[in-house]
Amino acid sequence: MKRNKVIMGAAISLATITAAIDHTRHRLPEAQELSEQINFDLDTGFDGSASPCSLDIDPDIDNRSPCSLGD
Amino acid sequence: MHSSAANTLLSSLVGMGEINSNPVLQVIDGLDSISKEVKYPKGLLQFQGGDWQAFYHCHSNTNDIQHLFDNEHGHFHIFAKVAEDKDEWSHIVALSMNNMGQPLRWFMVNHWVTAGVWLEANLLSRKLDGIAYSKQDTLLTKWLLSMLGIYKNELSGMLNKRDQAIESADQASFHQNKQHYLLAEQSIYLEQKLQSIAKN
Repeated sequence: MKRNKVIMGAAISLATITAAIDHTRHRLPEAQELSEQINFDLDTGFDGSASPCSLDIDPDIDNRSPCSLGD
Repeated sequence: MHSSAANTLLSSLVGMGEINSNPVLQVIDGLDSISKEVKYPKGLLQFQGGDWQAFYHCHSNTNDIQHLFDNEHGHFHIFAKVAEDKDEWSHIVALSMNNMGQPLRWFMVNHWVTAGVWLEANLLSRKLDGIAYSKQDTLLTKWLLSMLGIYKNELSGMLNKRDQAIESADQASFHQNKQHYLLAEQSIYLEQKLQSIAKN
């Protein structure tokens, strides 16, 4: 909150903008294919407590809305 | 609005920078491994008093729309509640992110992609006008809301372009036609955008 006031109370310098953005540059973990992850888990001792079916790709995947709010 | 949104955006960026984070690291909550097609966070992101929802995900199959996903790690989908008393949602825009957690572009998609309720551009632009910042906002929701705030004019223009694409198609089935995925897009140059606001 204090920091917010510091920013808002001062003229925003170009250096401030550059620094703020630069400090958020962090490499993200690469997203894995679901099927690859299942294989990986099986190879490394998938404990069976989580049903492999819960990671199954929806058989109707081509007919649903891929970016809807639903699961 | 731009100046207020820019300040909110900067404060959220500073806050995330202080903890070596960024919007995507925030939404995946520090996970070392994430999966394609899974929506993050679990239970989705709810904000603005429950009037907005968002999630982040990465696609597996991008063959048909490859250019859209060049250099992309994944994207946020942002939805607004249609009406106070209804649990119905309308997709406003998606926000593409690169693998360093930085915004790449806004894009708007056809109805079949996101489902939900389809609202016309003017109604969605009003949702953007109604954005307010509160103490309940997290670094991530502040970032999302202020991104929408500083790009409000551009997003309204994209919404109009989206609707024009549909009108010009002149097909009743256009909304569900899977040949048409992308309806509008715009690249993001955040540093330049903030600099232009700061100068004015």
